[in-house]
Amino acid sequence: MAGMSTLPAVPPVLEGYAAPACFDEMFGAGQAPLPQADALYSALRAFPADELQRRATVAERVFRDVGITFTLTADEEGVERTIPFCPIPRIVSGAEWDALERGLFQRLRALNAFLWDIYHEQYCLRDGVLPRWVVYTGRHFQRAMSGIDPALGVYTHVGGIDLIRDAAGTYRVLEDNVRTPSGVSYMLQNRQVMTRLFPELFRGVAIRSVDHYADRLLATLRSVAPRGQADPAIAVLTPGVYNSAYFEHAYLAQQMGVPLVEPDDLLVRADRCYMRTTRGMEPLDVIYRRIDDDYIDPLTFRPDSMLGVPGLMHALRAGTLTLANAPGAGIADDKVTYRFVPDFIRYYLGEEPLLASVETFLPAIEDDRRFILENLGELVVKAANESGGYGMLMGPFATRAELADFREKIVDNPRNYIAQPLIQLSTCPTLAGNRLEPRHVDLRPYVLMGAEQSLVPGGLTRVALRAGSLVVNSSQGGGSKDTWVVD
Amino acid sequence: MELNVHHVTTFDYQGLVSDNINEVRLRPRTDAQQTALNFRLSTEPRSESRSFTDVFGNIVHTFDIAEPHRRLVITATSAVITQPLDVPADLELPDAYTPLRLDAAGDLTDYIQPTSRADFAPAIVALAHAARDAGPYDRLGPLVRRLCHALTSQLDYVPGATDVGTLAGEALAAGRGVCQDYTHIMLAALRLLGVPARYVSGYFNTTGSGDQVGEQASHAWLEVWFPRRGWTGVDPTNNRVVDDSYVRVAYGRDYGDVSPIRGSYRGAETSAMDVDVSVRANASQQ
Amino acid sequence: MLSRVAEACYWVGRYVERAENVARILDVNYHGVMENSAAESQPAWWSVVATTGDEEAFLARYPDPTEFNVADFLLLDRENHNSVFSCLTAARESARRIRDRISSETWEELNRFYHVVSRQNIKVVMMDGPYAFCRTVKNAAHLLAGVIDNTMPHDEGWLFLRAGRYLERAGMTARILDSQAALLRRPESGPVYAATHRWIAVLKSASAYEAQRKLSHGEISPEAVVRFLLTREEFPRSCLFSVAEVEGALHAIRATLGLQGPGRALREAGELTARLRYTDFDGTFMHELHEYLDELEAACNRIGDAITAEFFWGRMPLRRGA
Repeated sequence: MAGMSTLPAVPPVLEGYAAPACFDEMFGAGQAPLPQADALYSALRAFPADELQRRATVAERVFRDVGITFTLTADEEGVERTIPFCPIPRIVSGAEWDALERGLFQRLRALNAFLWDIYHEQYCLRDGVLPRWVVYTGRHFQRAMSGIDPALGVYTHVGGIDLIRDAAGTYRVLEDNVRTPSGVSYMLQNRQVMTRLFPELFRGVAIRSVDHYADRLLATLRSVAPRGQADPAIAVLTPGVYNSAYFEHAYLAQQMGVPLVEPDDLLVRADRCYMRTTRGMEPLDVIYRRIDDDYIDPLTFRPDSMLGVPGLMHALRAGTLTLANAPGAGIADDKVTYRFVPDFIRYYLGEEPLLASVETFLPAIEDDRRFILENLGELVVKAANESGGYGMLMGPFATRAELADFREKIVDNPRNYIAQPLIQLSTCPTLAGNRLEPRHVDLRPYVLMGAEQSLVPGGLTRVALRAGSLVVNSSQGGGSKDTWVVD
Repeated sequence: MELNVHHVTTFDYQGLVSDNINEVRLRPRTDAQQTALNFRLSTEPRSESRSFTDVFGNIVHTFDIAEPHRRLVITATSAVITQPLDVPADLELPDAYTPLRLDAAGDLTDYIQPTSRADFAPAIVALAHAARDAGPYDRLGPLVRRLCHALTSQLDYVPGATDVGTLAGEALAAGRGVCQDYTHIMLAALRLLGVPARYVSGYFNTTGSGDQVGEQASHAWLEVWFPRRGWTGVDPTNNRVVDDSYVRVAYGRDYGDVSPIRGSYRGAETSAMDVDVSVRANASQQ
Repeated sequence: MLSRVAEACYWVGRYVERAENVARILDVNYHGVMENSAAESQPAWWSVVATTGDEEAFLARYPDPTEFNVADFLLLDRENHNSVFSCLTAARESARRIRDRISSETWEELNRFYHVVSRQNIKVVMMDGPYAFCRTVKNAAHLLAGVIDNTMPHDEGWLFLRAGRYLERAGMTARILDSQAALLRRPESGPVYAATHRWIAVLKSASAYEAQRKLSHGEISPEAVVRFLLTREEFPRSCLFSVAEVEGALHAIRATLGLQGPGRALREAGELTARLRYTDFDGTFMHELHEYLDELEAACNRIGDAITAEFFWGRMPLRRGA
């Protein structure tokens, strides 16, 4: 019978695929697919070169139907998708994932312990675990949180931890995001689109499911009820329809079955937070908030904010309200603090870090500064208080003028920068035209922390769409892929 | 001195307002230098206030008024006993001037950094360096005195020329300001020179002791960290050292940390804000 | 339900109804006026503008009430916030904020309605007369109402939308009658046949011509028309029908929310329903028609204010204090 025997040994779309000198998510360091990618490789053999392309185009339309109905419609009927999608998933083996989970949980426990400490007795400063100035010059250190006890001592209910894989195939944490990490809706949507459009890729593969994320998030939020009550009133707080991540806010609220509120819907009276409803004031106990600290309460933070709820911090302080994530968590995902996280793990947990970090040098520390200035051409230098990949120097690719510019910046303002060696991010086969080419990727799993920690097996794999580019951020032209944890 | 403080703030609105929620820092501090007695905070319309202590040790009261109203009156009264201070009027103290580095500042870290209002603008840098280089600076006292003096000669006290958001550099460049601006400028200049300094809000009885009424709006000055003596009050607006005719209410890094009243409400716009402060000394005290 | 969401539903109902009614007013009066002599057309056009109550806004932008200017003002003028275009823009903005509440069909239909109107050019519309355009608007409104009623769960949001739609209808019907009542009082209101055709126009603007004829056996007197449009309980565009719908919606809303007692809005609506139902059409009624209609409009405004105060927290903007 015609069939398997007529399929090419090498999938047409992978003909001539040559990974650069780094780890490849499908082929590792070799030529043959890794065990966890075997089934996908096999399935791709049945895809002629233009079929993937055709389905990818259909995927765009499916995204619109499936869920991104909350995105602002452009003036015409067309929909604007914010992140391009690549239909070739990135695959992680079940064993690798389980190890990652242990490392991520450990890391979040340490960050959380650090936050409690820094907003209470500050033992870590007394014991010199990190210099005081790191905390006190940190843009996101919120003095108003001093002395406030969040429910169960949890500050980082949702953590988006960015992982990369170096040339040796070792996972490393690149960056922590524990303020208002976003992108989980893409994780969920990408999986939905993949199952609808590429069912044959799922045959014979045991892929762990991700669709229970909203359930887990809801359970997490319920577990941090401010007074330990069994059935707290929960809401998702969004800045509104004009926010670029509005779709995600609405989607999560709908999936969890809780109200989606805007700042104007809330008020605080006698240290209690309420929603303004047609029935009158309805109390609110837990808010999953997607508004930055600075804007969330004009009485405590920026007084000019029109996105805040006056008195929200009073309710937090009085113990009648839980905010997820807690204000002030940003000092834990500060790029300078990052350097000390392995020390936090040892100090607070008495354990060795299970997950590696990227070696980080601080110009504000004299020895580090010397090293940095001597090796500027080999290092990546980032501004300490920015996100999105801006304000960055890629030493190996920089011009002499750019190097000189950054040298001056570092000397003038050492506390404002960090430096790391350039990591060759791993690559993953990515649709480019009608063939697959290697593109650099990272991975952002979403770690939940409440009464328990939980991790949905998957995450947002971001891919740099330009050949050779190491910048995966969506704001600078990155795309996303489905992430499969394969057993 | 025994001082009676009466501080009334009135907000008139152009129409009805509701959900008027406020945070006030009006309660004078109690410590070795000063004792606050019988503090009372009342509002019209009535409200129930709650209080907490913020990270700078200031006592903060909060209250909210739900019902519609056209006017809000906040009244804070207290009796305060201030202790005489042993600071020489010319600041001739033996404390040395050793600029403090940020990474060695310990608990004083917050008071050595620039803030959004007390910024290290070029005008401030010039002022600070000129004051330092105009004489010996092995000791801190004379340096502070020179700086204060230079500041008073470069700035005119002009109410209305600036507002609560004015930056130190702006005020100095314009040569005009009120006590808040004098204080921000001096804070910035000292911090630039590696001297920890903090913002103080409070009251000042201008007429001294005696059974007289002193009328002055809330006043602002700073405290400078002298390595041996500790926090020492200096009033740049009046070019003098702080004594027991001053009542301290709140500390912070700049005005933003000590605002006497911060609030938000719903409804019509504010038409007027009126502040009436009296600080009376009891004649029985000498 | 969040007040903000309920309020958005309410205003979708009001704005779509307003857009439809403005188109109806223009449509029928346009064809009515075309049957006038030239000397009568300016005051007639003026009465059309007066129906929407925006005389000042009109005078600020147009020199005189010609057919072209009035059509432009009422249909497509972006500066007139009561034009068909502006009402649909506002309805769409409100609907956008409640996308997760309304069905995707509702959103798509409203969106389509908006785009159809926003693409129009007044010169093209007026080349053939606005009949085709006004018919498009009416049909789109009917379609949208059908989509809403058939695809949206009949929950609180749907009830507020209905309350908005019918409150707007009641007010607009009163205004249509009032604009004609003004003409009645003018001594030069023309010979009998002119008056008749004007009242026929009023009926047609409410799609009530055939219905009224069936009932009144051929009589088109001003009194008959006024009675019909004010108090004909079975006719869906009469004031009584509309206010009774508002009353019903408010009653259902209160039941859904588990609220005790009538509350101000329901009380006002109930009183107005009763007043309409038991109106005494005695000899003096037509002489005092304008006052009656004025009070009717005021009562509708009171109901709107009461709904806003009771369910929407009175729309007070957030302000920074000290």
